[in-house]
Order: sequence, then structure tokens, then C-alpha cells
Amino acid sequence: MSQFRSVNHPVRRVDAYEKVTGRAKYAADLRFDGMVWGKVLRSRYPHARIRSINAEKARSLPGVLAVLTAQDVPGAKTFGIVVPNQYLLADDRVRYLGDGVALVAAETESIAQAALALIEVEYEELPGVFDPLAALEKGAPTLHAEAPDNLAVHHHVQKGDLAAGMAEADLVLEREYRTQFIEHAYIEPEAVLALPTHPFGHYLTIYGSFQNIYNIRRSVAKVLALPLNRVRLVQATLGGSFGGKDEVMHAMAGRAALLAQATGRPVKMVNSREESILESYKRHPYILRYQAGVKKDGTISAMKIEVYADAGAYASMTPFVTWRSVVQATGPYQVPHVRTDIYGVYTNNTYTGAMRGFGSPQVCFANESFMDEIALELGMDPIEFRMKNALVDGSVTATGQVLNRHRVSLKEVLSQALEAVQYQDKVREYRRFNETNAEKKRGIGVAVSYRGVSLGGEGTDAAGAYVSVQQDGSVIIHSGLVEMGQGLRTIYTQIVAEELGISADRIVFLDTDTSVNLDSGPTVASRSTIMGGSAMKDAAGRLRLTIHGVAADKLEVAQDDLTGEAGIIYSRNNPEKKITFEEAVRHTALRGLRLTELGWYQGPKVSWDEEHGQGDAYFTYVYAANVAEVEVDAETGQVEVLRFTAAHDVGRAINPENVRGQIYGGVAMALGYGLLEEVEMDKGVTRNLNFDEYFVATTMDVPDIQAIIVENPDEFGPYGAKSVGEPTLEIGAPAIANAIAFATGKRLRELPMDLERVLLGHSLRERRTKRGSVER
Amino acid sequence: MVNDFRLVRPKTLPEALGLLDEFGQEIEPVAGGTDLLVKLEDGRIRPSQVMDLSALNELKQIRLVGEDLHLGALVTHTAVLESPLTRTEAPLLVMGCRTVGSTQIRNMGTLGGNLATASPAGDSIPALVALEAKVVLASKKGERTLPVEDFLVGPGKTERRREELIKEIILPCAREGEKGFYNKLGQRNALAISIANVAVWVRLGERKNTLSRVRIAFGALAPTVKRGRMVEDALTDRELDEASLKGITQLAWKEVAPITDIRASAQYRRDMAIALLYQSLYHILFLS
Ligand SMILES: Cc1cc2nc3c(=O)[nH]c(=O)nc-3n(C[C@H](O)[C@H](O)[C@H](O)COP(=O)(O)OP(=O)(O)OC[C@H]3O[C@@H](n4cnc5c(N)ncnc54)[C@H](O)[C@@H]3O)c2cc1C
Repeated sequence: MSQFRSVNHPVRRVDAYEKVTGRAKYAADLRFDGMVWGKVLRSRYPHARIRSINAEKARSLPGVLAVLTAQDVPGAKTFGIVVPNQYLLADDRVRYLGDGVALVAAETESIAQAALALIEVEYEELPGVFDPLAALEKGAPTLHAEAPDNLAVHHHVQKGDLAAGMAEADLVLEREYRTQFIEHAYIEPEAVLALPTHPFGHYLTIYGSFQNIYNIRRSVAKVLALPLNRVRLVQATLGGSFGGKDEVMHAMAGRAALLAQATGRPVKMVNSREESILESYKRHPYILRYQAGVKKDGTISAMKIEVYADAGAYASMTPFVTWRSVVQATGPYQVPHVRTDIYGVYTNNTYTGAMRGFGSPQVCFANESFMDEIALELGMDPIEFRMKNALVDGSVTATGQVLNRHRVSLKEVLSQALEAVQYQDKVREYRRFNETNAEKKRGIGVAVSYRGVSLGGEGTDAAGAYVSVQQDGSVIIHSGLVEMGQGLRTIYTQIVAEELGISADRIVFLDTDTSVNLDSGPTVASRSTIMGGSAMKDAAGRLRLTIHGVAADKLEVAQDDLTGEAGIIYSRNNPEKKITFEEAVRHTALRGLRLTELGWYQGPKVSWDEEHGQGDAYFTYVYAANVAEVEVDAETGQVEVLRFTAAHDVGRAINPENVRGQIYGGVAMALGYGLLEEVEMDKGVTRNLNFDEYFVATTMDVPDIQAIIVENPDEFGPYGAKSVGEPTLEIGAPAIANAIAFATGKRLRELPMDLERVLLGHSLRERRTKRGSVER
Repeated sequence: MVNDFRLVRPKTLPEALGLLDEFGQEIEPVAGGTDLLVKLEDGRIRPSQVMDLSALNELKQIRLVGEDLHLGALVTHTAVLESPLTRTEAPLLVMGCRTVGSTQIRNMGTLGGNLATASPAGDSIPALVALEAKVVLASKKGERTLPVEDFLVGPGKTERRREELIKEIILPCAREGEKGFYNKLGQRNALAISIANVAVWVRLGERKNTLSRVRIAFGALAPTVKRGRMVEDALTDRELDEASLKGITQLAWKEVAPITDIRASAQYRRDMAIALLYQSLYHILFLS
């Protein structure tokens, strides 16, 4: 039996009922009296100078209340968390097709739409650049004055002596891999509703589909030239985000607020799916060049990695995304000599930013495909090869970090996954199958990863929590980290219930409101359980001390003899001595003691030396192993994933059911990443703007998934919990690629591995024709 | 964005035909709406009137008439899957309808709508063409019947006149010794428009591994769903084994005229015509 009462149990999601019955209100469901509609006129070209904008006709259309351009932005013209180079409204240039050029507010949505067509914009088209390698060439068109070489960022990792490491090797192998633009495909397109300044409070309020609510507030305040306390953001129920409702929402919230101020009316803006796919940022396509030196016995002596990331038109999160990539690029292996360089490059494609995985899915695809290729070249079993080089307790990572503060469980997760699928039996079974079948081929493939938890060297890492016990013993909690479907509210509720010894149904979770909650940084990097959960535990733990202190007094027992469970506080030595939680709370209140606490948790120390490319990048890591089993139709290239097994060390599963949910969802997204999805960008023009042509995996494509939860409690997490959100999708694609290579003998080095690529090794409808990604 | 229109909802077929006679040029019928709503939403059509057919219960019947099966134009894909009559009398059509969209789309989408839309990728159409089904068109002036194959003129183009409604589809009931197979290739297992598909209908020959009659219809491989008469002839009345099947199905290459689009290239589609046809015949001859 678990040592816990609430934590570590599959407690039902606190927000499930409202969502499945359609009662939850999303931003697009909100309405206010006097509300008007806002719309954005977007660019006609991926790269152009704006000569003039004439809005006369649009302004004179009956029902139009305002037409605004960059001139009307009262504060900063640009926003951005790392490099503020993204325009709220294009100034004199558009840099990608999704750039906003003008805004309209009108009495109805259709009038607003009609007004857009009446705005006359005179453009001078500029030559564009659509490929990161071309963008780095001399004389390439440039996007930003501060980046004359189109370089958004360059990070490196340097360990040991690369030349010496390569010289020691018996085999040096080199491969290139490529990944694609990926759309987050949240079910809810972006929406906001901005209220003009509150007449007494002097603040304005914006409701919306927000992920990183404090960062969004910062941008809105900046472009409106207001202090932070005059901008209040409230998160509406969020219909999925996956890292996606950040910068695109900075723009939307800022624009709606601008229109609300100009019209004095509540302004609603809702993107259509087409607008959403056109404007919103994507997961970066990477070009990855991997080189490794290996000895005959299978030890890796050196790795040299060069990566080019297409940042698109703006910096967005590229500097951080690529940093995670550079840290994790060698995978979970002991490599004595390493040189990794990653370049984020501006192009006139749709900009790229945060998406679940955050720079890991690309390097995992390359690295884990590469590991299989090396093993094949050595004539070694890919599992044996991985085990030989795997990180273990005390290993030193590529960035020079000694892994001695947590259990390095890579071998454990891999062994558990292999055992669950009966790996060796499957290998033999599929080999036999392939000998006797010409039309269908089966394969099994493995991939593993390690992943730094939370923000690491990216920056300040701290989170807060609010827990308030009411006089009747019911509890209100809220947090600055947000629910976006990942289950945060349930997890925090369980933690508070555990600490207070009450059941989860006595706790109510309030909506996130920037003017009320504690700024806890962004809800990203799979950090909400470990960071915000620790803050909740801190606040609730202090309340328990207060309440149990009063209870101890009443019961005349020592306080440390007390424990709470199911709403009863009792003596461990003499369970007859007990008092209900409510009663204890009543007495606490009567004594005038504080029944509300703010919790806080500051992440442990990390370090990063950008100059030397070394550091203790993250304070802890999680480990994962995935196994894919596939059947390939040798005549059509169709790939059916027959079964998928995913083992994840999560530290401690605060809610095992929720962990499984994360795994199922992550695998489904990984399957889409590997086999189906690609935003097709044709010289800066997005070709597939809706889900009839952008293929996410359906339930009919997702196989049975076996989720294996491994628990090695971490000293830094609440009850030992670490994270699970992102690791679940970073290694599905390479596991599938390895399984396909097993089945067909063909190595695919480019995503997605869609029908034509699987059958022919390359895509016939590809515009940037590039062959040779196949080898027999 | 959807424009403003008048919605009319006739209660009987004569009433509907009367309305069409009067307003044919500006009226757009709607059955399940799964194609029409998409076109309304993105502004491809801007009708001033929309005629909701959903009250016309007489067009929702599936009936046996002699040796034929009559399917009303408003029969949904789900109804085709679930009706005991279609399961026994038109198994090939059932196979086609099963691959349409998703449960929600099959619940709403109708055979008449699929046919009227006349997409080269429409999934119920290859079965209808391979079965030599006929379509009955009704107008105020009367009815006319023509083969489905002739009804289809081009992508989105049919022989239907503005004042006509598709009333029903007639197909011969399945008989002993006949077999069919529908093979659809899409990018994924649901909600995928065919990249290429093929419907094959055969009557088995007296001798083992022979076919006395063969009808093949290719979808998404030409401007309309297209019969493959050359291959049909080559397959008829001769003993078939894996090797000869491989050889003959190569002819499919000449029967099709595919395009390159976002889903696949023309060359890949051509290869798929051969692969899907081979798989279908292999299944019919050696696996079932
Ligand atoms: C998400 C999605 C997925 C889809 N997937 C598939 C798929 O996999 N395979 C496939 O084949 N199709 C697919 N479709 C298309 C569509 O569902 C089918 O073509 C369906 O059969 C259309 O029927 P309906 O009743 O909805 O047609 P409607 O939209 O009601 O009508 C379509 C057209 O036919 C006309 N029409 C309808 N009934 C009649 C009649 N009785 N007489 C004259 N004209 C008529 C209408 O005026 C209109 O022009 C999909 C559609 C969607 C939205």
C-alpha cells in the first residue's frame, strides 16, 4: 500500500466534468454587453516593404469603429521575451506571411471582415530567404538590422579534445537528418476578449486562451506603455496549447487591448483555424549533421554535431529551444569528447518557437536514429550498443555535469521496456515473418532519452502558490502556473489534500489571474509539478503546522504525534484522541491565527558557461525508453504502428492515471511527428491551413500503448516527483524510424516518414528536391 | 464566412421538385451538409437559397425491387453499413462506405451527396461504378435514369441539371459466385481523403483461379472515377497465378491519369493504381 492518501493515487481530474459536458467556458464563449469584433489584416507577401497604408475606405464603412496601424501603438512597437524583435503591427516591413499589418474593430465580425478587404496596402516585394543554410550565405536577404548575418543565436558545447577522440576511433560515421515544421494543433484556436480600462481601477482586463500569462502581460504592458499593475490578464479554460499559446497570444492580446482602448468597448478576437495555422509559430525544422567516432568494442569516443534550426521571421523562443538542443544533443550517453554547435537562423518562413519537447524531438530523432546506424555499422545489437554507452550514476554529461544527485535510471527504464515487450522474442519473430512475407514487413525499434527538468540554465526558476483554508474547513487554492489540459489543477489539489489530510473534493481551484496570483514564470518545460507542486506543498505544509498546533493543544498531545487523514486529525499513539479537520480549523480561526499561506519554491542552483559551453545545465533529469513495433506495406509504404511501449521514470507519479494520460497523448503526437505531420511551407507560403491537409494522428492510427511508470523519487521534487509532459513525445519518432529500418532495411533520415518516403525513400512531391536520404 | 441565405424545407419530393423548377438557378440542395457546409464556409458558393432535403423520408429507403437494390439518395453511409439488406446484397458498397471520413461524417453524409459532389476521391463511387449502378434523376417534368459512370463528367461536374434531384441509386444484387473488394489508400486510418483507391467486382469462372467477368473502378487516379477496361479484358477468362497477376495489373498504369497535389505525386499514384489493384485481386483470388 502506498504511504500516501491522496498523492500517488489515480484521483479523478478536478476539471473533467465541466469539460466533457461542455460547460467549461473557453475564451471564444465569452460575451460582454457592447462587445465589438476585432480582426487583423495580415501580410500579402512573406517579405516586403510597406510603402503606404490607406484605411480611408475601411474607416468609412458603416459599423467600423476603428482601423489601427503601427502608428497607433502608444508604447514599444515590438515585443519578445528573449530578443524583442517581433512587431505588434508591421512598421515598414513584413517579414512573414502571418505578420499583422492593420487592425479593425467593428460592430460585427462580418463587417470587420469586410473592412479588411477595403484597407489598401501598397507593398514593395523584397527577395525572401526560406532556407536556413541559404540564409547564412553571403549576400542573402536579411531580416533584422541587429542580425546582419541572419543569425538569431549560436550555442555550443565543448568537452574534451575532439580531434584526439576521433583519432582513437576505429570507425567514424557521418549522417545528416532533417525534421519538419510542426503545428501544435491545439483543438481551440486562439481567442481573447479585452475590456477597456476599468473606470475605477484604472486597469484593463483581458480574458484569453493564454499559456504563459505573465510573459503575455509583460508584452501587453510594454506595447501599451502601461505599468504591469494596470494590465490584468485572466486565463479562460484553455483548449490545449502544447507550448503554442505564447507569442501568438502576446500579439493577439496586445492588439485586442489596443482596439479596446481606441473604441472604449469590449473587443473580441477569435482566430479561424486557417488564421491560426497561418500566423502561429511552429516547432523548428532542424538540419542535423552528426559525426561519431566509435571503437570496435562499441564505445563512443567522440561526437561532433552541427545543427541548423530554422527560426523563421522572429527570435521568439529560438535562443532557449536551441539551448536545450545543444545540451541534450549527444543523447543519454557517456561521450568523452564532444563538440556541438547549433545555429538558429532567421528566414521568411513562419516563425518557430516553443512546442512540447522544446528542442528535444529534433535531436532525439537524429541521435537515436544515429545510434542504430552506428550499431548496424559495427555489427552490434543496438540495445547492447546503447547499454554499453549509457549514462549511469556518477556519469559526466556532455556539458561536464556529474550526475550524482539523482538516480540515473536509463538502464532501468530500458530494461523494463524491453522486458515488457519481450524484445528478443519479437526480434526473432519479426525476422521470421519478414522471411516469409513479401508484401508486409514487420519491425521493432527502440529509442531512449534523458531530459533536463524545468528551465535549467535558461533563467530564473521559481514558483508560488496560494492556499487558503476557510472557516468551515473548505479550501481555496490558486497558482500562477496554468492548467492547459496537462492536469495541473488535479495535481495541486492532490498535494494540498495530502498535506492537510482532507479529501480532494473539499478544495476549489480558482482561475488564473495575473493581478491576484503569484508570478511563477511560464508554464513550460514540464515544470509545473516539480516547481508549482513544491510551492503548494510549502503553503499547505505551513497551514498544517498551524492547524495541527491548535489540534495538539486541544487534544493535549505532542504535535508531531498528530497525523491527518480523511478529514480527521488524530494521535498516532492513541487514535482515540482525535478531532475533525473542521473543528480544528474553527479553533484556529477563533484564536486569530492565519489560515492563508503563500507558498514559494526556488529551483536548486544550476549553472551555464556560455563561453566554454559547459555547465550543470539542469538540477535533475528524467529518463525514458520507447519501443515501437510496426508493419510496413511494402507495396504502398503504409506504416501501421502495431504496438507501442513507453517507460518513463517520473520520480514519483502524483497521479498515475494522469501520467498514463500524458504518455498516451505524447505517443500520439510522436506518431504524428514521425509519420504524418508537416506544415508545408512553399517559399514562405503555408500550403496546408486546415486539418483536411495537415494530418494529425486519429484514434484509428494510435496503437495499443503500454505505459510503464518507473519511480525513483528525486530529492528536489514534491514527494519525489519530477516530470513527464514533454519526454513522452521526444523519442517516439526515432523508435518508429528504427522499427521501419528493421522492417524494410531502409534508413529514413527525414521526417515525416510518410507514404512516399517509406516506399521510395524520398518524397516525389518535394519542392526542395533532395535525394540520397536512403541507403540500403 | 457564410453568406445570408433563405432556408427552405420541403416536406415531399413533388414540393422539392416544384421549388427547384421555380428557383433552380439560385437554390442549393443540402442533404447531410458535410460537403456543402465546407463550401459555404469558405465562400466557394454563395447561394441565395438552400433547400434542406432532410424531411424527404421517401428518399431514405433501402428497398429490394426484383433483382435490384434501390437506395434512396438520402441514405447515409452509416445506414449502408448497418442495413441487413446492403450487407447481403451490396457488400462492395458497404466496404466503400465504411472508409468514408469518420463516424460523425458517415452519420451525416449521404450517397446522393457523395455522388453529386462527384469528387474523384469519393469513396462510395468506385463501388457504384464497378457494380454498374444507375442513378435516377427526378425533376418536375419526370425522371431519367443513367449509368453512374456516365453521370460523372469531371471533378465536381455531373450530368445533373439544376432543376433535378438525385432520387435514388439502383444496383444489381450480389449473386452466388461474385466477389468484390474495395482498397483505399489514405494518409491515415480515418478522416483521410483517398490518395488512390480501387473497387474490384468479379464473377468467378468455372475453372479454378479464373474470372469470367471483371469490373474495375479507379478512384482519385483520374478526373473522375474511371473504369479500367483494358485490365478487365486482360484478366477475363484466363488462369491467374501470382506472376500473371503481377504482369497484368501493370496495365493499370495506362488506365489512369493522376495529378500531383498536396497528398501525393502523380508518379506515386500511378504506382499505387497497380499495387492496390494487385492487392485486391490477390485478396479475391487467393485469400477469400
Ligand atoms: C471531415 C470530412 C471528411 C470526409 N471524408 C470523406 C471520405 O473519406 N470519403 C468521401 O468520399 N467523402 C468524404 N467527405 C465528403 C462528404 O462527407 C461525402 O461526400 C458525403 O457523402 C456528402 O454527402 P452529404 O449528404 O453530406 O452532402 P451535402 O453536403 O449535403 O451535399 C453535397 C452536394 O450534393 C448536392 N446534393 C446532395 N444531395 C443531393 C440530391 N439528392 N440531389 C442532388 N444534389 C444533391 C448538394 O447540393 C451539394 O452540392 C468528407 C467530408 C468531411 C467534412
